[in-house]
Amino acid sequence: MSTISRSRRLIPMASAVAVAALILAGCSSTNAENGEENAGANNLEADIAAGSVGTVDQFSSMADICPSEGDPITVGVVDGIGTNSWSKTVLAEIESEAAQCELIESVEFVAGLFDLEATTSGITSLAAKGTDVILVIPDAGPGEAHLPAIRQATQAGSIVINFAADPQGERGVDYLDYADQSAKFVGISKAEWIVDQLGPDGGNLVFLGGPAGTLVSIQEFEGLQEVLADNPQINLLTPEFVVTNWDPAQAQQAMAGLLAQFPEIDAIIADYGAAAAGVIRAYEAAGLSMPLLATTDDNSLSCNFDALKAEMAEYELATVSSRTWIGRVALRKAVAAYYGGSNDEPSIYELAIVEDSTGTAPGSVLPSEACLPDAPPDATPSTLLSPDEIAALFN
Amino acid sequence: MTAVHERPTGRPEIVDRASLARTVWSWPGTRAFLAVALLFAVSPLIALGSVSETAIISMLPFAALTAIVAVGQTLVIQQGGLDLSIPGAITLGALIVARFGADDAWGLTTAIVVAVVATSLFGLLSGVVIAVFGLPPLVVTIASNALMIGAVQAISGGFNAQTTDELSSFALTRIGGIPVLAIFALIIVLAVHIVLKGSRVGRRFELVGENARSASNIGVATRGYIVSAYWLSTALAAAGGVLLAGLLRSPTLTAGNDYLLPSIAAVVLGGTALTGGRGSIIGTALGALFLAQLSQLVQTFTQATAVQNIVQALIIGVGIVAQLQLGGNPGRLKSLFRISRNTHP
Repeated sequence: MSTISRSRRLIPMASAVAVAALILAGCSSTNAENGEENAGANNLEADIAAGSVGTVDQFSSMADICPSEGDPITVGVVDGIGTNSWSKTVLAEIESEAAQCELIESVEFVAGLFDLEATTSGITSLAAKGTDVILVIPDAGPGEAHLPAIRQATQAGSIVINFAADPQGERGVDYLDYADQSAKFVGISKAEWIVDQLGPDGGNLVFLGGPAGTLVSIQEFEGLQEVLADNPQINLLTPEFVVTNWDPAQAQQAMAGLLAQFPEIDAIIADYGAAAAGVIRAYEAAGLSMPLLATTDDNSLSCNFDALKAEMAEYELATVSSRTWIGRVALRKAVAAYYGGSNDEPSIYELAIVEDSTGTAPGSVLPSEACLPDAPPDATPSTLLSPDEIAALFN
Repeated sequence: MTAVHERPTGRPEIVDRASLARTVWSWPGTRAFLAVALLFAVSPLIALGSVSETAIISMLPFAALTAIVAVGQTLVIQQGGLDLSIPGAITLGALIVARFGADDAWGLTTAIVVAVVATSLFGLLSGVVIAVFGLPPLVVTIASNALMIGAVQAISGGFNAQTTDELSSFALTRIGGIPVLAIFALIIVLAVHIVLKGSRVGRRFELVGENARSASNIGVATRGYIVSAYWLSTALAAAGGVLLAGLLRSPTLTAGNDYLLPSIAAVVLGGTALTGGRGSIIGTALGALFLAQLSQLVQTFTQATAVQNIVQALIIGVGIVAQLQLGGNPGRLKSLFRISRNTHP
């Protein structure tokens, strides 16, 4: 009896093992196809200073990383959103960087259109095609929701580097690296500028973030709170960040609510420049004067500054970079990893104020200098694209 | 069919020549007005700032946009349909005027005309498909929404455009202290109301919505009315988009998405039944005002989004249930009290 039942139990087990073996064989054959070229290279470990923190003056150059000869390499970029100007600029920057390395054969682009399913299937299908390098912006939903697809692509042999949105997970376990700004540091940069501008008398501050519970807004808010802990003269008006969904219209309505609730607001921090443009419209609609504004760079903010300042004497603007160049870093690291080279530039960037209408922040430019007159209002003045590339992108 | 003939005789108030109070109460707009009045009365008790001048001036343009779009939605709902292509129409209208409104492109006037007329053609298409081929409005308007979103992507190339200073400063002007968008909405609402209630075309339009077959039997060309509902709805949404472009200055490529649900909620709150037939344009406008002030109130009351959403949803839900359940019948209200008296002797 027992032998019979055991053998009965064994049959499905054996078949399961056989199926698993077949699946594994299938996987390993794709692995071999992709992996043969970069023989022996592990796509989870490379000499690329993964996770290191630094500043933008530590950028390296593609010319030093891209070998003069070697096997051609295919690159895929998956963007969870991929339809707005920010995404377009990011992709153009990656293409511009790729053009500096002759070994890069192609750059393929998948836009997730806010759809998690489309985004993750974009990642896995690129991996299934044997794409050597996959750069992912995991922002179609919560970062960790992209992890299964990212792991799958890594297992299939692709080098996966995430950028511009935190996928959670771990470097060297789930993917090779994650390149981005330090959102907390950005919060600190903006808050310190506000503290400096408001001086010893201090004042009231509001913080406008993205969708409720979004990680990058929370981190930036934490950085801000850290600075405010040492500066009690600044009064944060809301205990949580104000939700705008990074949408100018919603930011406008949220700001209208804040203006109704708080008669005196001396400074505003917004974690997205285009949403800040909605904030300005709320002030204009209410017939009030804009106070201090610290946000990310946005062409409409830069180009409209002087005209607004003429009407609203108290308005001052400071921005940090929207980091559309971060895809370049991700690509350089991926190329270094693919060819077994090294790259020592940081993965995580501490961004300082790059544009300051008061001219006090060191190394900053005035809004009128930052303005790209030929680019659309939601372009990012801090892009590393050349003027010709910008013209080509927007026309 | 027979229900229509029976209904008037089944209503004692019509036979008995109802009192003025009853007649007024039976207007859907009256209940919407009471809801708005109640909301404004309660607002300062909950959050003083929510009725300040700043708050009202900031709220009115958004209420106006919802009202304009919801007037179109009312017309479609009166025909027993639902227009889900409103987001696409708003966004396309906004994009066309923002992108081509500059003097070195088409000029503002041409761009506005093209934005409204060209976009409305998509509504015309929906209407023709629904009226002639009898396809479900839900499916057809989703499809035309997709067409318009596609057009948005094609025209924009994925980039926002910025409206001319002329339009963006005009959208913020005030006439006698009232935002100009609110005045636009008022004119549109009154014009549509007068045509609908005061003209033969309007009465026929309502009859087609109530019962297309009997309308057809007495010789009304029903298809024309159905097509015009969708066409007007899209045209009004596109006009709303033009104004939204002015209000936002750089409308995003998803700018219309926030107006679909409010447009339907405003219609229902305003007392127009989703089954079609008679509708109340004034009620819809009041519904839009209610929604905008409610949103302003919860935003002024708390910054916690979860609380904002829950409170807003609950109040809208209660409003809709009250409007549907009490619908024009004071007897039902009385019976509610009677039941409560019986249960607590």
